[in-house]
Amino acid sequence: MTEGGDKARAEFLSEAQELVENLSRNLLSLEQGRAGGGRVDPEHLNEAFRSVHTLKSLSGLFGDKHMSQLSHQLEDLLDDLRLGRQNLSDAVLDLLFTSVDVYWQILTSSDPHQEHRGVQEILGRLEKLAPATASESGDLDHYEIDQSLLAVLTEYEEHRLLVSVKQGLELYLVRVQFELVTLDKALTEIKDKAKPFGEVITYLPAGEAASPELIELDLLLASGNPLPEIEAALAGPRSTVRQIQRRKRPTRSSKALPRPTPSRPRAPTAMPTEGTTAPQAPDGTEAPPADAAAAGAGLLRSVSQTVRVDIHKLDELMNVVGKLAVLRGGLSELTDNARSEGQRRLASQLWQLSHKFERSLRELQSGILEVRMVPLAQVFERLTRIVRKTGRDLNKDVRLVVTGAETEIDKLIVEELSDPLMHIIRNAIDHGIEDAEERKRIGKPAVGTIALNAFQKGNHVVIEAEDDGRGLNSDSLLDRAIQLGVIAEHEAKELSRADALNLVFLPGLSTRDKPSAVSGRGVGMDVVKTNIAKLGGSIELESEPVIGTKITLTLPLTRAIVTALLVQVGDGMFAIPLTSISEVNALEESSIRVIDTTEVLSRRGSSLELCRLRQLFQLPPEETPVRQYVVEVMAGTRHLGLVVDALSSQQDIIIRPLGRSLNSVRGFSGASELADERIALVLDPGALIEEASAGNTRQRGGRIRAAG
Amino acid sequence: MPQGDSIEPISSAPLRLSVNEEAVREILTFALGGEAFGVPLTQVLEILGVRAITRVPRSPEDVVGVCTVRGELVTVIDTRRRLTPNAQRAQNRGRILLTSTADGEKVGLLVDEVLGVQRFSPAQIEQTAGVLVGDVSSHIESIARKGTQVTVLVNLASLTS
Repeated sequence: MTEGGDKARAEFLSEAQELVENLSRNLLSLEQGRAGGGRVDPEHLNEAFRSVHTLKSLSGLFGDKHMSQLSHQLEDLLDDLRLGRQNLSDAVLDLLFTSVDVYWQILTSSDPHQEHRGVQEILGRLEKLAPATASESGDLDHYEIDQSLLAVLTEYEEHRLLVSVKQGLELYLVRVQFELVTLDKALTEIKDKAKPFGEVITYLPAGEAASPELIELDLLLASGNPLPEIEAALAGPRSTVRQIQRRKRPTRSSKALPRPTPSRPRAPTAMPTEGTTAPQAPDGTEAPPADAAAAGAGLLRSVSQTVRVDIHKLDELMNVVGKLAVLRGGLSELTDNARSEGQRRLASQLWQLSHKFERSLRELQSGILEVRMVPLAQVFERLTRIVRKTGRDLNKDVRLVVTGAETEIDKLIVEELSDPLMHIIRNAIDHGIEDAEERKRIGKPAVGTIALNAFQKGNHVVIEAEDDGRGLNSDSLLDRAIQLGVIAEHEAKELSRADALNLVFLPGLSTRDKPSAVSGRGVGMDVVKTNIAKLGGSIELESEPVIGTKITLTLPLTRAIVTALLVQVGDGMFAIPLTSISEVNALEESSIRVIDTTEVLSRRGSSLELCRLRQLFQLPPEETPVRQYVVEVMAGTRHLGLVVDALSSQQDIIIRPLGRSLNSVRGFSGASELADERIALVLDPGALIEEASAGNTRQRGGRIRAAG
Repeated sequence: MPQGDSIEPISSAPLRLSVNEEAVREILTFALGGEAFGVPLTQVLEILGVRAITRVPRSPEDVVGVCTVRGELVTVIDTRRRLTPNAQRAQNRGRILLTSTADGEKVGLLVDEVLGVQRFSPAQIEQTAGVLVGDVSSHIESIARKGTQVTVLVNLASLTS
C-alpha cells in the first residue's frame, strides 16, 4: 500500500499530466492554425491559458515549487497573448513548446525537490521576453455600440472586440429569447450555430423578459458575413439579428472604456430574480464561460464527475471476474448433477439462475474492459511533439497527419506503445524523409509527410505509420547483413525483396553507416518488434524506393481478458487466443507434403506449414489419436498450422504471466485458470510462428542465424 | 512452535558488529531425500497440500509446473532437484511451501515432508560461503547444527529465481 501522501502526489501528477497534454494539444492547434493561413483561434489560446492557470493552482496546492514558478510565468505570458499584449511569434511559440518539455521533465522526475536545469533556463527566457505590446488603436467609436454594453465587457472581451473591429468585421447583436429551464442547452446551440460565421464576443441579459420563465440575451457577434446570411442562420421566431451600424463620424475622441474587474457579477438587476424558486437558479445557469472563472468551474466539474483509478485495481477487479467465472462453472456442474439425479425442477431453477448469473458477469466484464479503454490520441499527441522537435533538430520540414486518433485501446497497451511508435517516427524522419533540397530535386513536395492512421479491425487495432520518404534500401540492408555474418553472399541473391526488408528487424542492422544523434544507427527495429510482440501484436513493413515506407502494427484491443479456443494436446489443455486464429479444420494426413523435413499442408492452391504440438512439446507419439485437428494461427501475414489432438471449447480467459523460472520457455504467453479450475497454458502464436521459421532457416543451412 | 528442543537463552552479551551475532532464528525445517533443510519461518506464507500441478512443456527440469492458489498463479519448483539432485524421490505425497520473491511473485517449493519449526542461536549456525562449490551450494546459505543433527539453511532468493 502506498502512503496517503504518495497517493495524493500520484493523483496530482496524473492530473497535471492531463493538463500538460491539453496545453500541448492547444499549442499544436495554434501552430497549425498559424501555418494554415495565419488565423489564430482565440479558443486555443484560452484553453492553453486555462490549463496553465489550473496547473498553477494545483502545483501551488501540492507545493511543487518548480511547476508553480513555471506555471506562474507562463500564465502571465499566455494572458498577455490572449489579451493581445504580446504577439504570437515563432520565438514565443518555441518558448511555449520548450515549457511543455520542461513540464514533462518535472513530471517524470522521481524526486519532487530535484533541481531541473531546464526550469531555471526557461524562467530566465520567459522573463527576458520583452512585452512587445501590440498597440490597439481603438476604433470602437466608429460603431453604434450601446455604452452600457461596453461598460460590462471584461478586458479579454474588449480585446477580442477591438481585434474584430480592426479586422474590419461587422458587428451584430443577436437578441434571443430563452426559457430559463433550458437556457444552458439553448445557449450552447445558438453559439454553435454562430461559430461558423464568426466569434461570439459576449452575451448579456437584455433585461426585457416578458415573463419570469423567460430570459432575453444579447449576443455580440463579430463576423465577416453580411447581414442576410447571419439572419438566415440565426434569426427565428425567438431571435432577431440587428447589425451595429458604423457611424459617419466618431462621437467620442478616444476609446475610454471603463474597466470593470474581470469577475464582476453580470448585471444582476436585469435577471428576473423575484419569484424564482425553481432549482434552476439564474446565477447558476449564467456563468460567463470564457475566463478564469470558467477554468475554476471546469476543474471542479472534472473532480466531481470523474475518478482516477489505478489500472492495477482494474486488474484486481478482473481477477474477481475470473473467480466468479470459476464459481459459475461450479453452478453449472451442480445443474448437471441435479438433472442426472432426476431433480428436474431444481435443475431448471439452477439453470435459470446460472444463466442470469452469466449474463450479469458478462456485463461486469465488458464494463471493466470499457473503463480500461482510452483513445490512441493520448499517445499520438506526444508523437506530434516529437515530429515537431525531431524535424527541427534535423532541419527537415515534416508534417504529421493523424487519422483515427479516437480509436480506443487498453490503457496498458497505450502506455507500452509510445516507445515503439516514437522509434518508428524518428526513424522515418531521420532515415526516410529526404532533406528539402533533395525532395525538390526529385519533384516531391518540400514538406515531408508522415501519416499515422489507426482503426479498429475486429478484435484488433491497426496502426499504420507511412512516410513519403526515400524508402528502405534493401541492397544496403543485404550488404550489412552479409557484413555481420547473418547471411552469406550467395544466399543474399536468393532473398526476395520482402525477405530482404525483413532483415531490418534483426538485431544490429542499420540502414545507415554513420549513427545520427536522433535515432542512432537505425534505432532498434528489433527492439520495436520485440516490444510489439510482448503486447501480443505484430509488425510488418512495406517499402518502395523513392515512394516511401509503411509500417503496420496490429495490436489486440486488450490483454486483460481474451476469448480463446481451448484445445487438447496429450493430457494438457492449451488456450489459443481467438484473435489469432484464422481457420480450424480436421487434419487430412493425405494432403501433407514434406519439404526439407518440414510438413506442409497443401490446400486450395496455397500451402500451410504445420507444427505438431505433440512433437514440439515432446509428448509420447504413440498415444496420438486417430483424428487430429489443424488450428491455423497467424501473426501479421504469416500463418502456421498447429496440429492438436482435440478441440474443447471457447472461453474468456484472463492471462497471467508465467513466473521468472519459466521465462526461458518459448511458445507461451502465460497461463489461465479455467472455469473448471484446471489450468490451461496460453499459446503465443507469434512466438510459435517465429520459432517455426527460425527452425526452417536453420535446417536449410543456417541461412539466417540471428533470426528468432 | 519448538518441537521438544531446548530453547537456547538469548545472549545478554552486548551486541557486537559481526554477521554471526544475530538473534535467535526461527526456521521451518523440511525433509528432502532424507536430509533436513530449513528456511526462515517468516518467509513461508503458507504450507499447502500437493494439488493438481500443470506441467509446462519444455520447461527446465527443476520446475514441476504451475498451479493456482486462490486465483493466483504459482510456479512450483522441484526443490529436490535443486538441492539433492541424486536423492531418490520420496514416496509420500509431499507439501508445497508457498513463498514470495522480492518482486512479489508467488513461488511454491515442493518438498518431501515438513518437519517442524526449530530455533537456532547464532552460535549454532555456520556460514558456508566459500566452503562449498557447485550448483547446489549457490542455494545454501549456512548450516545449523544441534547435537548430531544437521540442518541445511537455504537461500530462498537464489532458490526461487
